[in-house]
Amino acid sequence: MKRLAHSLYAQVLIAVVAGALLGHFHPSLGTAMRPLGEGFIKLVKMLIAPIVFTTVVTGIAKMGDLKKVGRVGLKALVYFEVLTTLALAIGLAVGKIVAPGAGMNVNPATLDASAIANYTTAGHSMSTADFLLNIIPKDVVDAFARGDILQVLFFSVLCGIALAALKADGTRLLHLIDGLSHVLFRIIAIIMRVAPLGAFGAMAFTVGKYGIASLLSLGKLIAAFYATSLLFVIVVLGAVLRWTGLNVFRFLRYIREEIFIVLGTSSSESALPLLMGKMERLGCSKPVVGLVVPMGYSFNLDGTSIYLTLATLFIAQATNTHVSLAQEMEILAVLLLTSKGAAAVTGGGFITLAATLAAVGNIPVAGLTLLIGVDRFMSEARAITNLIGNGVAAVVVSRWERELDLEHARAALANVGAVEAEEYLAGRVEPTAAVPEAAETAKGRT
Amino acid sequence: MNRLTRSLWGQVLLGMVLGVAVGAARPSVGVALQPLGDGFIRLVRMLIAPIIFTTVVTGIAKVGGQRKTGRVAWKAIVAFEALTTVALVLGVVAGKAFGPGTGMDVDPRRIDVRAISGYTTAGKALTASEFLLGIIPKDVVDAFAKDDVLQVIFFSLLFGIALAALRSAGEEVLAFVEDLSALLFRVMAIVMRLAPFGAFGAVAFTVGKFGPGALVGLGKLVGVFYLACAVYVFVVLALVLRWSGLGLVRFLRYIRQELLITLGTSSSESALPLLMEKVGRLGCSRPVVGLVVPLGYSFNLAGTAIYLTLATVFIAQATNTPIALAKGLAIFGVLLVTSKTAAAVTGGGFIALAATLTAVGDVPVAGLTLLVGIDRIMSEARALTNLVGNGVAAVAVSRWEGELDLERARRVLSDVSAVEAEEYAAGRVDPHAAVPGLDGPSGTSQTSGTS
Repeated sequence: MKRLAHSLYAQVLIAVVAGALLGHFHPSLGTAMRPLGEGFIKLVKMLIAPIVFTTVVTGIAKMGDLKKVGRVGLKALVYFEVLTTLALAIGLAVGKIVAPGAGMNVNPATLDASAIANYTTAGHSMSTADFLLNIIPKDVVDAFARGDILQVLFFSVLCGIALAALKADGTRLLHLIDGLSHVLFRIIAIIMRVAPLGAFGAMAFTVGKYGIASLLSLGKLIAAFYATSLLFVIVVLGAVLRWTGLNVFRFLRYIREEIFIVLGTSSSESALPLLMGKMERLGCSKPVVGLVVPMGYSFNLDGTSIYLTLATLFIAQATNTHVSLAQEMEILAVLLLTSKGAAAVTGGGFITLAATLAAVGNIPVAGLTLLIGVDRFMSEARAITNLIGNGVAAVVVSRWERELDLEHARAALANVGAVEAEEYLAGRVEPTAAVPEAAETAKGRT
Repeated sequence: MNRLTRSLWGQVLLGMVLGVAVGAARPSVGVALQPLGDGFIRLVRMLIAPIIFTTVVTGIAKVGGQRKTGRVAWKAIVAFEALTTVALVLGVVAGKAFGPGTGMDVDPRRIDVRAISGYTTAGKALTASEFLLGIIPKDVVDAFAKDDVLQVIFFSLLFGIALAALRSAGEEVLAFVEDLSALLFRVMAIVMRLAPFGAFGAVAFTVGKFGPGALVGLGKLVGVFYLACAVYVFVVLALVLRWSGLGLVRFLRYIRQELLITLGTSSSESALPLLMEKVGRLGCSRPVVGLVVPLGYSFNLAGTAIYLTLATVFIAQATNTPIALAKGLAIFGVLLVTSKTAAAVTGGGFIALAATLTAVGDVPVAGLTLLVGIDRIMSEARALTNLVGNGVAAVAVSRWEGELDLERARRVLSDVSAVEAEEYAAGRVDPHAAVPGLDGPSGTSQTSGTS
């Protein structure tokens, strides 16, 4: 029982199961739990912009080398490009082979497109120039106020480089930002205490609102998507991790806390700060983590990529729209761009899909209506795959930069329980509330 | 005369007297002076979010521990709940006893509701979960940018607790936040030099726009409200203070500067930073002040509470709407909630009233129109009562925590002018600007000597 109180992941897992049960057996009560999940996601999201800022600035300032920042950024982008292309291709291949939509014979003219009107209007695609210009904030404070991660990242990189150039003159400011970073991560630790509550509420809402029954109607699609995601994680990411010298299953076990939180809330952002802390503790270099993970949340959405091609083919098959090989290549090309613009919010993948279908023009956008009911369930697997993909990206780029402490990483992966206990004692999870007696011993040791 | 012009409260008083004179003699000129008052309130408001942040954070981090923070917050909420409930009851009693609206025989269907449409749409009642979710900022910086006091308090609490948990690792950040706090209060001291102008402009506008004539029509309601507020302050709050070991009259004299600024601007927010500093100097513990005063500006609006019940009773009487006991209790229950969410802005009480009447549904919302003309005058007493109530709440909660330095408080209260002179010397009010021709050198040396 004491171990249970110590481990956040077990609490979250229990909460997810309890939420699913409540949602299934008492849908209306489950739906009413929604504010719990929303509140938790809001709690984490309010801190993401400042956490990204402090991590990136301290990381870059300590790295102290402009060339290196550029190199890490470039390597990260190259890696993202390769991995997401692979994910898109795999989604396309699975869509062709499994053909989850074949035989549904849906007439797009009879579909009620009003349910997706919000998505299709939100989803007009941006030109490259617009996208690049949008990375520059209108005003620095505005970028933080709106919580625009790419803009915050952009300003943080500038700030970090400038701070590094100041050398000794900047030490006081650097110390302050470093201290701020500690405070913010400590706040995250306090917030994580209510993670089980958030996971419970979000899960109860999802199951209560959409129900298990909605799973059955598109069972083949969902199964295909989950299987593909699983395959991607174990085979593709597994191979990548093997190259860096680590084992994927151990890695998954290492980030189980983050995985369960994302599973519960179906938002990969809710675990972003935790993931950053954990990757640093694994032995990845701090500046690499600071750059790669937030960037990855915009550019390295593996799960979303798989979903995009798979869903596109599904709609084509269900509406009996013939797609030639040339068109498939065109879809792939369009998605290569649109998948990068998809923000890491719940349902963000849906908007991107709408934009893509509109851009390709052949497959009826109204077909999206078929997916609405199950989108929330797809979102779970999407968010988890995205999360794992970004963790792996941080490891890979660190390794590529020869800044991965492999010894340390192996030791950490081999003994997850010890790492979690250490985290616990270091006070990442505020001890006082969970187990009062243990708190005193923790205080005694520090 | 010399003493009067040297002290801020004397200057503010002078500004108000001049304001009344200008507003009464030349109403159009008085109305045109509105920007002076609005400008001053804006100057103060722009600093409130950061001042709350630095005060709450340093307060919590210094005393440390979320347990204490939780206890203080809990005690504060209990105190607020008790104080505002008493205020709500007082409003009902005053309304029933004096019947300010009886015999007006207003037909609600013939009232022009256009004047209040802005308030009724703004006053949509929030559900409990919406309210709670609304306390969590979308993004931390956004909370400051939108100047949402509750969101800022929420983040400041988390920040302070985290900082306290970090101990020595957080020293650098704590020192920085403290410096920031000193800086902000210094900026506030500079802004306060303009308080006499702000009070002058706001009073000239109020008198010029609404005039003494507005008072006559609803004189009875205004009279009853002022009386109820006086009873609340001089009986209820006096008892609370007596329990803490202090005398009310001396306390009022001690915060006269804040009272006059609030009276002049009819916004209790414009004196919030000053009040926090002053109650702290009285001997209340800093973390308690840092928590209780900002929280009280959202949850401890005694003046607004009196106004809400009294005005509801008034509208019911004026429109001849009978209220059964059960209905009355329902209204009371709704008011217990809406009075807490009324933000501490000028006119905020009006929006809360609209929300309440809409929620209850029996008393015609159109009746609010009757109150539009005198709302500004009611607002004065509301803001003053809210201000005094928050000061007293800070004292009472400090006492409850066993952290009120009673010796010090008594000494401070018995010699208010010495405190003001000390403040003056410490440069809270910059000496050069306040009295140009007066012995500057001594003031300068003392200013530079303080930290």
